[in-house]
Amino acid sequence: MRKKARDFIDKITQLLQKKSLQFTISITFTAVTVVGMLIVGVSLSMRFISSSEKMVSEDSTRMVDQVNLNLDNYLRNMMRISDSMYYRVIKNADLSTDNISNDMSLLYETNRDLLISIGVFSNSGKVIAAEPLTQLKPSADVSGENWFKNAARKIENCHFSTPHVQNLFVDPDNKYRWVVSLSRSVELTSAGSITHGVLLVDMNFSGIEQICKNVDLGESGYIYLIDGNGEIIYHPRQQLIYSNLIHENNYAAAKYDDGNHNETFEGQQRLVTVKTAGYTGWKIIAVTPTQDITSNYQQFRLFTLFFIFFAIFLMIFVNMFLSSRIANPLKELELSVKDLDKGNLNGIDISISGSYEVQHLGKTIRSMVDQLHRLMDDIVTEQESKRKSELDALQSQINPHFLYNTLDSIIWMIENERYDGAVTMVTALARLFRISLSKGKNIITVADELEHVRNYLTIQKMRYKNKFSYEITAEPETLPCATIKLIVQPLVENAIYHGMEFMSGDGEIRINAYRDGNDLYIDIIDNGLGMPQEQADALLTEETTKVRGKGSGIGLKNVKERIQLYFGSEYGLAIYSEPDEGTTARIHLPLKTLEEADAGKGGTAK
Amino acid sequence: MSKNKTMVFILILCAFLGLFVVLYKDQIFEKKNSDPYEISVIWRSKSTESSTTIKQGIDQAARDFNAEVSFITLSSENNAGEQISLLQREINNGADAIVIAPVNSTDLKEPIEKAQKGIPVVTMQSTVNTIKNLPSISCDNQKLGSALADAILKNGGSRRHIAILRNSMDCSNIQQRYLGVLQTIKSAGKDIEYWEIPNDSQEAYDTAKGMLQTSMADTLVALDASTLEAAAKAEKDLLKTGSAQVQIYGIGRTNTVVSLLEEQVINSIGVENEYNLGYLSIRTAVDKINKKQDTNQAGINFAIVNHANMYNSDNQRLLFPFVR
Repeated sequence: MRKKARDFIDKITQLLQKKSLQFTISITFTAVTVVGMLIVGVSLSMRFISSSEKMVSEDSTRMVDQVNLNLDNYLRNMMRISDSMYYRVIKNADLSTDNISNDMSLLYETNRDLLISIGVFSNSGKVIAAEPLTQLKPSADVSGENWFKNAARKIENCHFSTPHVQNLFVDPDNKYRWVVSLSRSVELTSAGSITHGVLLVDMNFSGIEQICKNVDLGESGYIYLIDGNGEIIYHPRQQLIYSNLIHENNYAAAKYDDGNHNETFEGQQRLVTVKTAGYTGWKIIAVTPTQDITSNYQQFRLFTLFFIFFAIFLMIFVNMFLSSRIANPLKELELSVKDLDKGNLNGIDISISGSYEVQHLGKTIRSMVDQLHRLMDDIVTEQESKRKSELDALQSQINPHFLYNTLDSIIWMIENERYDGAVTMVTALARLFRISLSKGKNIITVADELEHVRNYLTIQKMRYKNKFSYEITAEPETLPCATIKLIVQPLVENAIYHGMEFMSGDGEIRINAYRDGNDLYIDIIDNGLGMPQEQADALLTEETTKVRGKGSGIGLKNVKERIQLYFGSEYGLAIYSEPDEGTTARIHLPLKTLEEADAGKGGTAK
Repeated sequence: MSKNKTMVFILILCAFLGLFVVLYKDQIFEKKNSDPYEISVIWRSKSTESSTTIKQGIDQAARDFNAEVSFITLSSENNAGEQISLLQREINNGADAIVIAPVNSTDLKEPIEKAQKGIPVVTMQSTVNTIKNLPSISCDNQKLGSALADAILKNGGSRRHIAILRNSMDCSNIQQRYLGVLQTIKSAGKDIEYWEIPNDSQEAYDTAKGMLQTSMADTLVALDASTLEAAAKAEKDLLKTGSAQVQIYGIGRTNTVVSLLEEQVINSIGVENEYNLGYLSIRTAVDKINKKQDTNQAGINFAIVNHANMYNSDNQRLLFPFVR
């Protein structure tokens, strides 16, 4: 069982893990709400039902007790009247001499609201005294009446009859009244001898009716009164019962004990509260149809159900709203981070919204991305400067071949005593080295660079026995401008090796520095063999530009790369060539003074 | 929340509101439900004395079925014209139903038929036989008549001269009683004479007195309470002078009739359960208003009561309804 529950919980957890945060929050909150509302609703409604059932039965009991109290009070009153009549009047009178009519009349007048008549009858049923009417109807059979018989049979008791029509006395108004008779046996003293008689007190039936009528027992609840045998004494719809139009369960109720009972009568469930009234043995019965109570429940149940659903509905929307408030910023953040994950480092905007925690998270990620940016920039710069240094170092290397050849030429000249030539060559070599070193600077003036080339060409021209001519021109304003050291010389070297070497006629190399707008150009033009343009383009892109193992070993590509490392990718080197026409290598640099270049790119170059 | 969700929210909210109204319409429109039915009862005589018990039944039914009943008596006995105009007036006043004791069948047929088209009409005690499906509340008057006649034959012994007092003979219930009495008595081969008794109580008394003094009849049969009362009073007064000695039988009860019965001036009376009559007529009217199908009506019971058995428990309930 426990395993099953755990499996179930695991399953739900797994299911929720796959769902979005918003969904999880909504569904969990809603589930908790629904369960909570159901528990509250069901327990409330159960409590209500049990308490209202209790209340109804308590209510009935209270009502019945109240009626009992009133009835008891009423009957005691009657008995008191009877007692007064007996002990104060009859016992003290000798009927042969005393007239008890006055006392009786007084007693009747004091209680006339409650009474219909009072009468004292002799053993044979003769009227001894009566109020307010005294003349017996000729048809009246006093000794045959039940009340008379009862009183004569059990002389020690008071007897209450069921309601009947008073039919003893002649009434000039022809009124027939319903009464409840209280009769008792009395001892009559007449001329010293004692005989038995019957004292009759007829209570107005409406007195009992008043007690039971105005009892509120809910919508269709009521109270009725039966005697010990189940005969109805009072019922709010007595005449209807007598007329057989409706029925009452009075005979069954006579057998009930005091307290609450549930009964089904004529298909109707009802709660019956029974109370036996003290002296008479009458039973007060309160009837509350169960439908009265349950229709209340139905209403309450519907009401509860309605409010449970309404509250659930409201909570679902509140949950949806809340969860979207919580989850949406997270979702946005997640999307931003997804972008980041894809490697889209530039221009992503990390969203910062929502609650404090999520904002904080967003801010942290944003600063992290910024840091990443900075670090990557640093790496790029570092790599660039490393490359620059490498290339610079490479560039600074003098082709040992060239040095050896030059020194060899100088030796040869000295041996042939051509000292002037040797001096020129040594001087040029010395200058070449001086500029090559340039106190370790990488950025020098155009004038220096051209001077360097000039020295180089001087040496090469002597070595190649004037096989080519050269010309260096420069617009004067270009001379103080900045250039990278040793970028023209490799191009000139290429022009000599690849352009001139296999040429039959006079080779010609022209170097021209000029300005165009804010740009500085240095053209190296030869009239050598040239090559197709495709090949020329390839020179700048191919990994190696050393085609034949000659030259300084520094490829054109390196030159271009150095320029771009120092000044940016918009600058660089271009080669224009045509077979048999010659080749033009064009260096493209920004027009900058030495100071500007030092302040800008020089910083990183060192 | 998106616009869609807001729309859904409002829609469901409206649905809940609608549900609320549906659930609590009983309480919201309670007032309408508690509007009582207005029912007019049009009686056929001017005295209310003979109708107290019926009225009690009507009042009880009015309480039970939430009806407001106006009980209308005529200004003179058995006045068909007045009854017709009262019927019309009550319909115009917006009664929800009419309970009527038609004075006769011929004059009332058309007005009742006309009224039936608008509202339910229920007849009580008497009816209009020629209208089909006219709900009618009464006991079996012919049986009541025969039962009374049986009592006459049983008690009468050697008496053979029977006078039947005729009054309100247009009323269907009186006719039925008359037929019942007549059939039984005729079959026993008694002599029968007919006394026409006028409507007015004093005139009726005088007529009865005159007839009693002149007629040979030794047994009188009255078919309604007022005639019975008049004849019995006359007989009682004549008894004082010791001039007349007839047995009186009749149908209907008033307090005077009951006391005369007790004094044995009247020999026996037939009593229908008037309380039920009143109660059931209102219940039927309410059922008709609510278009309920005919429920099995309990028949109106009756009893033949003489002075000896008038105080037994069943008869005293029939004769002396609880006065509230």
